Amino acid sequence: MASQAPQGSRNGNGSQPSPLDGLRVVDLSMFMSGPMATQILGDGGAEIIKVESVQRIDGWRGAAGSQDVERPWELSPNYNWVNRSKRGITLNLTDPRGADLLKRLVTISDVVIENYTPRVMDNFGLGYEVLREITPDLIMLSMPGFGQAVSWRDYVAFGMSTEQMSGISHLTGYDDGPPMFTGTNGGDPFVGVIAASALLAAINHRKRTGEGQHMDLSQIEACTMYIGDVLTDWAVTGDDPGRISNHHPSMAPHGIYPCADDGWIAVACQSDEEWRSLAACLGRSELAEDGSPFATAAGRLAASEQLDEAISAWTAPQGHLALMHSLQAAGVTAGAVMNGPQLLDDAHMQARAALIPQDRPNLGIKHYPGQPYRFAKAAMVENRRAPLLGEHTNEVLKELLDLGDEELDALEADDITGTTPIAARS
Amino acid sequence: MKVESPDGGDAGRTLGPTANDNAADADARASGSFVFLNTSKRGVTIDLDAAEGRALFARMLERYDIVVAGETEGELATRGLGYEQLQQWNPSIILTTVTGFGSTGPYAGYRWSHITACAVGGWAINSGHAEREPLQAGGSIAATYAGAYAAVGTQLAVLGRTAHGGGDHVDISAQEAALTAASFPTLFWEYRQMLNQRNSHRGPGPSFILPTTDGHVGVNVLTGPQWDMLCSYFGQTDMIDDPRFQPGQRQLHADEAGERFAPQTVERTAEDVFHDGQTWRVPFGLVPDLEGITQMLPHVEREFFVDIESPTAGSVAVPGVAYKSTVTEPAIGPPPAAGEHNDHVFGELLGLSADEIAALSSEGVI
Repeated sequence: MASQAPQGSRNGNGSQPSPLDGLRVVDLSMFMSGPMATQILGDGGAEIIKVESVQRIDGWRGAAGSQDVERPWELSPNYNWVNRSKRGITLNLTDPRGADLLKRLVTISDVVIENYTPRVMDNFGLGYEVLREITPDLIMLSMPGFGQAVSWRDYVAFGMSTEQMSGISHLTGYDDGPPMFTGTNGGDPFVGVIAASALLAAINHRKRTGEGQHMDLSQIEACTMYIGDVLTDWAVTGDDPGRISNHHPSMAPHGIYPCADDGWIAVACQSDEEWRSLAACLGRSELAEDGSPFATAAGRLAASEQLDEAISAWTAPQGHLALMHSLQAAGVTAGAVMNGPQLLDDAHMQARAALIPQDRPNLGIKHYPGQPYRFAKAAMVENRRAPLLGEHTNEVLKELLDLGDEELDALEADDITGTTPIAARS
Repeated sequence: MKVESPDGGDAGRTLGPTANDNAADADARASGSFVFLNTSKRGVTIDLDAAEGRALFARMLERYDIVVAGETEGELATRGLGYEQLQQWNPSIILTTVTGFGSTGPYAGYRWSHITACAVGGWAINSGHAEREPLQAGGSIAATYAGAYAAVGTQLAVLGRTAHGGGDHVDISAQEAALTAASFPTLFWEYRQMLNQRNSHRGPGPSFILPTTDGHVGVNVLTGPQWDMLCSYFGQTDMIDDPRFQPGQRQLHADEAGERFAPQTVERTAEDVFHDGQTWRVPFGLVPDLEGITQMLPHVEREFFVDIESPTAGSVAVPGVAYKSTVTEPAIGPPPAAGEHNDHVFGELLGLSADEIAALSSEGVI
């Protein structure tokens, strides 16, 4: 199952270079939200230098299924996806020599990004005020959980808590149950895209004015943006919908219905016309005729449970993938609930080359989700697999900072650089 | 510049729930979500399916950099608005299309919405309880997320044009966007032959949403030391050495852990547990309702919510910009009424006379 390589091409005619050619980014961020932002920049042509250390590896390297294998920190799907299109170096920033090398990298870089709690960069002696002295037009993005200058500045946060605190959990769940997570990696992906957008805005601003800046991005604010529509509905109506299962405030039918073989299908009637089409599929055209209580959205909303039962009875014996296509052909908004192997085998995903094949030592070729946008002209640079720990340390320090072999050996001997986490040494 | 049809405009203007939901006159219904999604825009109305309307649009495009559309490029082309046509009107135009499945491939043009994006993006398969139906994520996040990616893709095209000269077509797929939020369904299958299970009543760590006297609180951990701290904090120190709760085993027995922790929160307030946990440096979270969000201390301190004057909904507080910059200030303005800036754009910018504008209006072109 799922062995076919993607067939399509991700780029258009490549008549334009990558948008971010020539931009250099020092990436101190870990886990997902920050690395997702730099993946977007790296895929867009920027040179990303990801900084870890043998004292402190990116926590997402710990997401390999089993630790009882050789170099498990290289086998985490989470890490290996989000760190595509980057070079990876190790530098112990708590050692003055490591911090000094980082400053020298910042001197020749355009952007620094970090997602520590606010005190950490100052502890390294690498706060914005220090780095701006070195590189006056530096763009720096800090992305703490709550903001750098708020009362809760030292509170710890990660994807699960930002999802909760943004209201996403409050709105996710069964209508008879408590708040739930949505099943993503918490708020991290939502924050990561906003962070990328913030950086691109700052890059554009610098191109126009020559001016750098420091951005203080609050992860809970970034997450909250995604429910801004519901928050503003509440602001004008005073009605907090809370959890509504798979319903919708103004559309019905709207749900996820059972299919054969544990399959499920999502259906949303976005208009009276779509309801007429669905009712015809059900063999119940009379339910959409003028005069029927179900002819209007208000009538269908009032009777949504009754309609959901009728639809479920009709979908239950059908295959969810085939049903998506037949409903779409009939003019009904429908999407099969797809799992991993179904996505890997999906003709549309393959035609769009939505998954990028990448080879990696001890893993072989796996297919990593690409950016959800394509350019007709500009080249994307998505082919560099995620770095091994410290894979490019010597390459970067030689090429960019002119360090010699003796200096590099001394750094490694003192664990300022390296390729094996200290915690993993026996 | 928001371009709407003269025949009713953006359906989002009256999409429920709205203020004045029962008003007979649709114009009196004011959608909050429309306000949020359309701040800081001006608005014109043009019938793009009329030749005269397209001619007017062509003249506008000479002055604009980007066209954003909610249709596939192919659908636009059948209306005489495809990328090649737009380039004839403005050679360096950037076209961004935001659709459920993108502009290419066998499902291009399929209908979509938030809930179907959750389904086809490998997201819903992981949301909800195993013994019940899969769930959509709350609100319209999957749609908004595709929109955020559209902003990013468009920004890249703008920077590419600045650097290299030409415009581009940026093609967004909401399915592929949703897949970047989902818990790696394709990679977990390829790496571990693992099918994602629905158990989103808890999260990685493990993390929980537990009951309090006044609602719920997030009891979350990420790292091993945080787990030990959590067990100590709740007085469950035997769990620290329990083989079932060691790394690798912990997630398998997470529900049991949650049952042990729940009695520790149920008689306390969420704020009490949250702040207490944070003093132990464990990443607890609040689980606020909508009103609670607007009152949360960091949002108040950073003035995250911004009051804007909507022509229909009156004064409304909307989420502002999620970052503070040392050099720029956000400028968040109200959404436009449909066609509010017709005179400005068609008269002042394009030089049409008042008579010409009146004629176009009476013909229904604007």
